Amino acid sequence: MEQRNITSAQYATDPLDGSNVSITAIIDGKQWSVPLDPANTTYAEIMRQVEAGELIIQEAES
Amino acid sequence: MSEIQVGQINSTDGSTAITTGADGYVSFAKTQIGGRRNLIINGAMQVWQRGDFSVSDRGYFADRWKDYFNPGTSASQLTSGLPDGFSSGVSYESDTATVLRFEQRIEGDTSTILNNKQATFSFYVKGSTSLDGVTVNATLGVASTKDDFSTVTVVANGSFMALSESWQRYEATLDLTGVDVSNGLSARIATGNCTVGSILYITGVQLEVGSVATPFEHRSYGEELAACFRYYFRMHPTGNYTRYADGYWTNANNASVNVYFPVPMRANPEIDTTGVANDYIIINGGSVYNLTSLPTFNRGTQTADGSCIFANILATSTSNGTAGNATQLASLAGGNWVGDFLGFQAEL
Repeated sequence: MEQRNITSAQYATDPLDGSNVSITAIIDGKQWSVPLDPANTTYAEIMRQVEAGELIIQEAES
Repeated sequence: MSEIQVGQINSTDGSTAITTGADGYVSFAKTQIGGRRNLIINGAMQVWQRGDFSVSDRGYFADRWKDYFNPGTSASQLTSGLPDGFSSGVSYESDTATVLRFEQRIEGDTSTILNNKQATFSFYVKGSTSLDGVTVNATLGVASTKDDFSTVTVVANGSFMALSESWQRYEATLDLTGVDVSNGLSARIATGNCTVGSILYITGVQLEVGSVATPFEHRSYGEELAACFRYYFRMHPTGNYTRYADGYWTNANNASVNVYFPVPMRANPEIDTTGVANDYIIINGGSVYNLTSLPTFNRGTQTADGSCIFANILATSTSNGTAGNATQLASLAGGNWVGDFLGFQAEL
C-alpha cells in the first residue's frame, strides 16, 4: 500500500453556515485544499490515516 | 480479379467472428478493429497539464500517468525521435531509484469490460545504453474496493522483454480468466533493476480486450485532453491578471468564487496551487489585492453520479473587500504570473 506523507490537517468552514467543508492539509510537503468527499482519493487517504490513529484533523480557526 | 461473397466468417471454435451485411457494413463480433479499443487514457503521452515532473513531485507526469512506490525518478515530455506516427512520449529517468515503474489507474466502470477475459497490453519502448538487456514488463492489479486503490492486488503478469536502444513494441496477453476487475485496474509498467541515470523512453501504451495486440488507437489531442480533464484540470495565466474565477465578496476578508470545469470531474476535486498565497490576487472595484492564504475548496456542485461540474472556492485577503461587490480571482501582473497556475485534481 502506498501511503502519502500527511504532516498536518485542519478543517475549513463555509462562512455561510460555519460547517466544515474541506481540509487544508500538507501532503508530501505541499499544501492542498481537500473536499470532504469520500470519492476524493486524498480525502479517503486522510480519513484512513485518522482512523489508524496516525493523523489528527485540527478544528477550523474560529 | 477474383471475388468472394460471404455473409459470415467464423472463428475456429465455430462462433461468429465477422458478419457482412448486404449494405456493405461489416461487424466484428470481438470488436478488435473498431474504435475505442484502448482502455488507457493519454496512451500516447500527448497531454502534460502539470508539465515535467521532478523527483520532489512524487506523483503524476503526463496526465493520468503516475509513478508508484518510486520517488527517485524524474520525467519529461519526449517530442522527437519517436516511433513513426507518434508526436509525444515520456523520457523517464532514474535519479536515485533502482527500478523505474509507473501506472495508470482505470475506473471500475471502464475496466469491467475485462472481467473474465484475456487482456492485451502493448507499448513502444526503448532505453538508454545502461538499460541494454534490462527487462521491462506489464502487470495488472485490481483495486481493493470500487475505485479505491489504497490496496492493489496484482492479478496478472506480462512476459518480460529485454530493452535495447531501438524502439520495440512490447506485447503481452494477460489472462484474466476467472478474475473480477470491476473495482478498477492498475495498469503498471516496470523495468528490472537499473543504474542511476538510466532513462526509459515510452509511448503508445494500449490495453485492450482480447489476445491480439492491434495497432495503437490514435486519438486526437482534443479527445485525449477532454478525457484527462475528468481527473485533472489546470489553468495557466497567459498575461497580466488572467482571470481564474468569478464571484462576490461575502465580507471584507473573504470572497466566494466559482470555477466551472470544461468536463465534469470524477469527484469533488482538491485544489492544486503554486503553494504561495500571493501568487493570486482578488479584485475589488478597480483595485487588486494579494491573497493572504491559499484558496480553499468550499462546495462542489455535482451531477447525480457524483461528478463535479463546478467548484465554489474561498479566497481571503484581509480587510480589502466590500461585502456584496462582484470580484474575480486572477493571476499576478508585471510578468510575475509566469509559471503560476490554479489546478483541480480528482485522480483515482
